[in-house]
Amino acid sequence: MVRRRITEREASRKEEELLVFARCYLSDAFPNPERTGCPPDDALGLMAIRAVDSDASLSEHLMCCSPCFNTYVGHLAEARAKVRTTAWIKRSAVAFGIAAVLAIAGYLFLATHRSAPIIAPRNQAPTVAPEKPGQTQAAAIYVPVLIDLSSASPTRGSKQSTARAVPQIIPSGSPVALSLRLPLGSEERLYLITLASGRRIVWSASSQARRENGDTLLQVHADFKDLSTGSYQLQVSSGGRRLSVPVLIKGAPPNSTEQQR
Amino acid sequence: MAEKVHPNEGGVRVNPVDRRGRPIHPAVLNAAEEIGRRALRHAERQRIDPAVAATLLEEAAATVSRAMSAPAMSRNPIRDLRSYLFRAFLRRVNKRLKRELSVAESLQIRGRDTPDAVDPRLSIDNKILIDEFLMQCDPATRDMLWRRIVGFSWREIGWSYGISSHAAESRFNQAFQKARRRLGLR
Repeated sequence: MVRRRITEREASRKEEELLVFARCYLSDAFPNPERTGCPPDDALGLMAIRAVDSDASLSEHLMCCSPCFNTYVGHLAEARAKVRTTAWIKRSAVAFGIAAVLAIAGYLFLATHRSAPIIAPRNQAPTVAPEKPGQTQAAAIYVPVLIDLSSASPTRGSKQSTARAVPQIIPSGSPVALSLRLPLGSEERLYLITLASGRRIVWSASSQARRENGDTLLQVHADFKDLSTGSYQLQVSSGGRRLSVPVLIKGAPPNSTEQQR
Repeated sequence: MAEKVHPNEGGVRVNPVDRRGRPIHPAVLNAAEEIGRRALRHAERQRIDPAVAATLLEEAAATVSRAMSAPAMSRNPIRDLRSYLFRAFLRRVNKRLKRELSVAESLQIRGRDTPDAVDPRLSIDNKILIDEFLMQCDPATRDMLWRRIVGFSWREIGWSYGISSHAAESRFNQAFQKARRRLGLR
């Protein structure tokens, strides 16, 4: 491998030397001050630009006339500079185009993902999911679940209630229409609802609170089929205020499963 | 390319008969007189005596004249007689240079062993190799050499001829190897 590299380097050096020699030799060794048999300058310029259409007699003349060779070399150098400039412009245009496309794609990606929940649990509504054969319309029915957070509001005083709150049950077998009753006096604004297992947030959604019959309610659709059953912490937060209640995700009772079938 | 040349206006007179008294074809004679001055100038640059160069030109003219009357030449006529004759002259110049060099080597009169001396063999070998390459190859390959001299990359040369860079390099190297083989070089 090393020997091959050395040989290649040596060959390259020899070629370079030969080219330098060839330039010196051809530009000097064939003087023609009378310009006998020399072609017009335009023909040489054209040959430099369009190599394929070159005339054989021109080529033969160039190998035995140093003044013409020097002129032709000048034309070639000009042509090369032009080609390089054109190539540079083309390359720059392509690079600019790619950069623009990437910037637009990045902007679109950020724009679409900014509106989505921060942690995206796979809780797509079953109505939009492709139906599997054998799957019935009953699967798309949302089970209404009301979770009361009215007692979850922080109380005055240093002593917190030591009584352990009873976790509210959310069925995991089918999609649920969660209704969260917020404490009295809660504002009608956008709330972030999260479901956490320990420190890990497993589901989240946002919803606008509405007032109905004196209660402030948050309504959101969710599907906890992918979550394992067990205790979680349901948190509702907005503007630095956070409410938290324990919930229990529980599998559907056997009779309801049979009903769905 | 074609223009009027007046050989008698300070031109070189070429003997109309060869060494054996055979007449030289008038077209060849005319071409020899046209290129005569250029040929002598080239020989001068190679440190060849003008009288010797004139003899070499006459020899080349005689050979080309004979070749023109050969039946093979009627099938493939010479396109550019002046260039053809100049190449024939160049071959003789190169042969002469080689011979001179080997004589000098055998007599060991070259001063190349001295520290400041430049070995002339390399430049003569290179000259002969370049001449042989240019004479043998087709115009496209010849043009590749000129483009390489200017500093074109193989990619740029390939682009000029509508071929890949590898194809251009391969074509050029093959022509060079052929010239080397003809000269008995590695």
